[in-house]
Amino acid sequence: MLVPISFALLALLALGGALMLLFRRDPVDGVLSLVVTMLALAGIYLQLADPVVAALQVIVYAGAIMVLFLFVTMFVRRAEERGPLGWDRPRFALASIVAACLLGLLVQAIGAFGGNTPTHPGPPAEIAAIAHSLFGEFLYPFELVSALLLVAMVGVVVLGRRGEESS
Amino acid sequence: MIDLSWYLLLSAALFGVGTLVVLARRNALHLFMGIELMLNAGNLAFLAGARIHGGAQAPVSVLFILALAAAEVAVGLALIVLIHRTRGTLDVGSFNLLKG
Repeated sequence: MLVPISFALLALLALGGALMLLFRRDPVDGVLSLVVTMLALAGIYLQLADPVVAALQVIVYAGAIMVLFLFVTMFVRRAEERGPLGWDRPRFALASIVAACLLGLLVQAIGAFGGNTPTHPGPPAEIAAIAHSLFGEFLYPFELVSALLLVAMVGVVVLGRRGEESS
Repeated sequence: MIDLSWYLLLSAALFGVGTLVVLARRNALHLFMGIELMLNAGNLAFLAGARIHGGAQAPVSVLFILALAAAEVAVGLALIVLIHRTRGTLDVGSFNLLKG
């Protein structure tokens, strides 16, 4: 099984960004490397012939969410967070054991699933089909999501006001 | 044409790194970014599976996950700003208000 060079490149980029997030101390570096991961994933979605989701990934994830992260990170970052990372060694060892177990389980599940099915490059998912599904089959979850966004917005406003009162 | 397993393996690897970030880093901001990474790994698995089964369910699910992530990040970052204002630190080890 040959892996196309474009997929290998994008996958390495995504994993590299994730590892940078893990190993860099400065949260700003973490945010920027996570943006790299998001953009590489958008490229992989394009390869999967899903341009709608790729565009959403760039606009919502790499755009809106990560910019929000960047603002907050620059707002709360402190000077001592630059420089090398002081690892809490027992904690890191324990965490890597747990993560390795999880990864092993996942890889075993993928093997048992028999993932040798080739992904056929069929026609791209049309936006009309997505819209029909979203506003037909998934109408109630869609409305629930709008209620969730409203609740989150009200919650954030309340939290912001409370911060003002206490300081 | 790529085997599905490659996409799933990449997804699993990203999920594993996200878990490690959540468990090993002590900064609350890193914790949230690790959760974002795990959500993205789930999205990738959804979309890769959609190439085999077809249909529009996977893009719709990813859309819902995007909206959930946006709401979660808005509330979480507001909490982080509030905690930073009142306690002056983001070390998750120092959040012990609910300790008995």
